[in-house]
Amino acid sequence: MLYIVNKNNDVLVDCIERASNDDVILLVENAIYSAIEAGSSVVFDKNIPVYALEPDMKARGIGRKQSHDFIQYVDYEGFVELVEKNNPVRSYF
Amino acid sequence: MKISIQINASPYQHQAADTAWHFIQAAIARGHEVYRVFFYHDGIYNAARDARPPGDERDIVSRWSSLHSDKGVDLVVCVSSAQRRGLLETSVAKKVGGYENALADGFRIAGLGLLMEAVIDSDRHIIFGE
Repeated sequence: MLYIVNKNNDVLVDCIERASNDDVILLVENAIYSAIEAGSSVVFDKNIPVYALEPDMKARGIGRKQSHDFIQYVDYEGFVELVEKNNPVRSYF
Repeated sequence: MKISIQINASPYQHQAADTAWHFIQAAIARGHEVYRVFFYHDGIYNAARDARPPGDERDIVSRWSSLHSDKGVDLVVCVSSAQRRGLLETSVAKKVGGYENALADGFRIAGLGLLMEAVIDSDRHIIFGE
């Protein structure tokens, strides 16, 4: 399952707890802030791949250097690829 | 692959309409079919004909209308969500004396049956909003 998360709050924490090793998490919109390494209170599960939508990072002035090293980056085409590879897709609000 | 989209949030207030728009462009570019965009809850404001953003800003409503005219994407506005918020179908507006031209070009109003149809008939259904 592809989880799409768009907020930087407890919803993401809940999503990480719920996701299994077969799943993938994509951070978009304000969930991007959780990708920042410094001061982040979110504890990611390293067994679950985490992607970040890079255009949303750029829009918020966040670079790769500030982010956790395990995060992978996609543009919108990469977002579509994640949708192709994962079924179902769940927006986690 | 057949992909349907659901948008639950209003434009300009929330990023959902923009994220969905960019995703749709990328999906079409990769050869996918965007079967339907269903506008639900505050997402119905994406269909407000009289939206007039400043000239140097993106025009979200017109952008959707172009998606319908250029790519034939079905744009469906939830009837209950729209009526609650005063966006009336012409026939209903005539009946109740409301504004008859609320809906922008390319949008149509329908019920949740079309949302269910989109979910069932598509390979993927993706929700943007909150």
